[in-house]
Amino acid sequence: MFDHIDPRSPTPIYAQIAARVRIAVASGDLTTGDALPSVRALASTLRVNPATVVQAYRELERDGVVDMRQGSGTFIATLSPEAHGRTREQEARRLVRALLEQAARLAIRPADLRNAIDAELGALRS
Amino acid sequence: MFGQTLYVQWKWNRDFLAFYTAVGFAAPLVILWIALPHLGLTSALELVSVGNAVGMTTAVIASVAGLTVAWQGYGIDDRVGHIYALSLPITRRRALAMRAGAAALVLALPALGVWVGATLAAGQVALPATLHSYAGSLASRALLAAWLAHACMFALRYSAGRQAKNGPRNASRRPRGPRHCGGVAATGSRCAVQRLCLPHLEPGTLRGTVRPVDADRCLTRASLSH
Amino acid sequence: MTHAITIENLAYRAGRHFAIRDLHMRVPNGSVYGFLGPNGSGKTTTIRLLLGMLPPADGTISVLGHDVPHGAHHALARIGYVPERLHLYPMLTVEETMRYHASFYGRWDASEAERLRRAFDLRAEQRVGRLSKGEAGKLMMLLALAVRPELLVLDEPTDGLDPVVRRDVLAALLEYVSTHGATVLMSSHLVHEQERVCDWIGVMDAGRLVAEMPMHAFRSGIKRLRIAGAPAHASPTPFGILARRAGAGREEEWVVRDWRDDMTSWFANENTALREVVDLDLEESFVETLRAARDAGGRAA
Repeated sequence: MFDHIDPRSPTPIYAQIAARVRIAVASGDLTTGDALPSVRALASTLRVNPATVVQAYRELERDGVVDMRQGSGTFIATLSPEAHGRTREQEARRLVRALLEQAARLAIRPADLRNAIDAELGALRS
Repeated sequence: MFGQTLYVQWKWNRDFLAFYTAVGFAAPLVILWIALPHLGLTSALELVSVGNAVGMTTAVIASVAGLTVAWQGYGIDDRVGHIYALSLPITRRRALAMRAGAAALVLALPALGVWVGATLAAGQVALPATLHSYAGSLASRALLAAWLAHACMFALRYSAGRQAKNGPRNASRRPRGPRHCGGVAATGSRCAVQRLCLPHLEPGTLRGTVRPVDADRCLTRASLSH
Repeated sequence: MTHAITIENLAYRAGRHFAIRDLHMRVPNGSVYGFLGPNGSGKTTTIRLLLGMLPPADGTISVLGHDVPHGAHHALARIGYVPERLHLYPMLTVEETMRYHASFYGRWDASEAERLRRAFDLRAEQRVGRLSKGEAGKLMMLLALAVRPELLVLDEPTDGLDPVVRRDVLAALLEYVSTHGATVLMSSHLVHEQERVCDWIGVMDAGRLVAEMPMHAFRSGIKRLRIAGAPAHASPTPFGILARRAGAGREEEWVVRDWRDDMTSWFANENTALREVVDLDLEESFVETLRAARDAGGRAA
């Protein structure tokens, strides 16, 4: 789940870690009560600054996705099915927002973008 | 700390020490073996001359042992650029005192060799009662000679201040120097510049190039290529 | 003591020229401070100065609250040091080295040292002189970590190591830092490694520190802009311009610092089109900063 964290990406590392947890929760890979790796273990595995992992976990806690329990670790919080759905929706909008920003930078018009999305979705279905 | 220093000193020098101990042990016996057919060893003069020969030889052997131990110890530190010794959390004074103390202890071995060898040699000859302690006095003479020689060489080698080897002045070139250098080779095969703080020496009295660097008494000496 | 290391006005001479001059550096407590700079910029010399191995010509150095070099031996008892080359005695075995090293440090953790030795796959009876480069690197890190330091000073600790060993060494380092909250000063050429691990960065060039700031500020503030229709002379900009270069066709390429995303609006007001904002990774940011600093120095001279 946490492989391919890209330090060169403009997205800060803590945001990348948090995003992966969110996506895992949204897709059902992680459910209520599941334990996330300890700060120490994750920092060591990813070879990143432990403060970065702490920042990611804190942000997730702030958004209600996880509970950080002193001494025990970090666990996925109790999320209602509606909350699950909301998380999925949030993630989808996050993705689209990033896509729109990228398109704007390349001077691609929203209409062209929409056509491209329809074309790709069509290719996926077949 | 001292125990470990002693162990390391022993490990560095055990081959040399074994050699010098063996030579120190053999010297009285060999000299006696050479002298016995030619001299009767009945007259005091002959006894004294043999005794002198043994005494001189064993003192020289012990001195060489002392010089070797001092040279060897410094050389090993030099090989790694003194970085290890300088990075340990003890004052320079304490570090050197421990080194010198450990060396003094290990130098007892050649003296012990001399003592055993001289005792055996004396046993072969009918010595007057007053000279029975001769072996002991030879051994202590050897020990003192070793300590003195060690102290001189030690002081000479360790007269540098608490400093690591510098890099070269030409900062844009940084080739990996020869392994024994520790620091970085500046030009050709010469090792990196080593600083000495010798307040009483005038420039030109040291071998190699000397450049006065700071007004506060420090001179630089290019260390000799190995 | 908010800073593990404070250096002010440091100057050091090797020969006739100053190798270090006017160096100011502050390493905050608990940070992982990346020390970047080209070869010969003085990183190793600075590290040796702050460990009390070289005498400064001028300036003050304070490490863990102790004045260096006078109080160096006090500070060194709480520092784990990994030099850029193997500094250990070659004829000792791994085990003998560990025992020797342990005798100097009150805080040595023998069980942790043994655990690391096994984890690093180092044979106890192997002579240090016969260790491979990777094994030597691992042993030096082991010794530095087992003394339970408050400050780790690492001079290119993973330089020349193969990727597998590099991972092992970094993982052990980060595990220690997570558990004990130690401060780390790490100099390295491996910019991408620094990028993941460091939260502060100091860029050194020709004996001076040309930039010192939190990592995210350094990286996020420096961007490359693709510009079309730029005027010959620039009006004052809200961002700093490090360089202006010709781009493809009639475009120009600007390298800027202190960029914020809302600054795109500035271009709308001018008759200049901003085609693209390119993020630079740490290496590119570092190179551009150096170039700009050198050009500025050249122009001023």
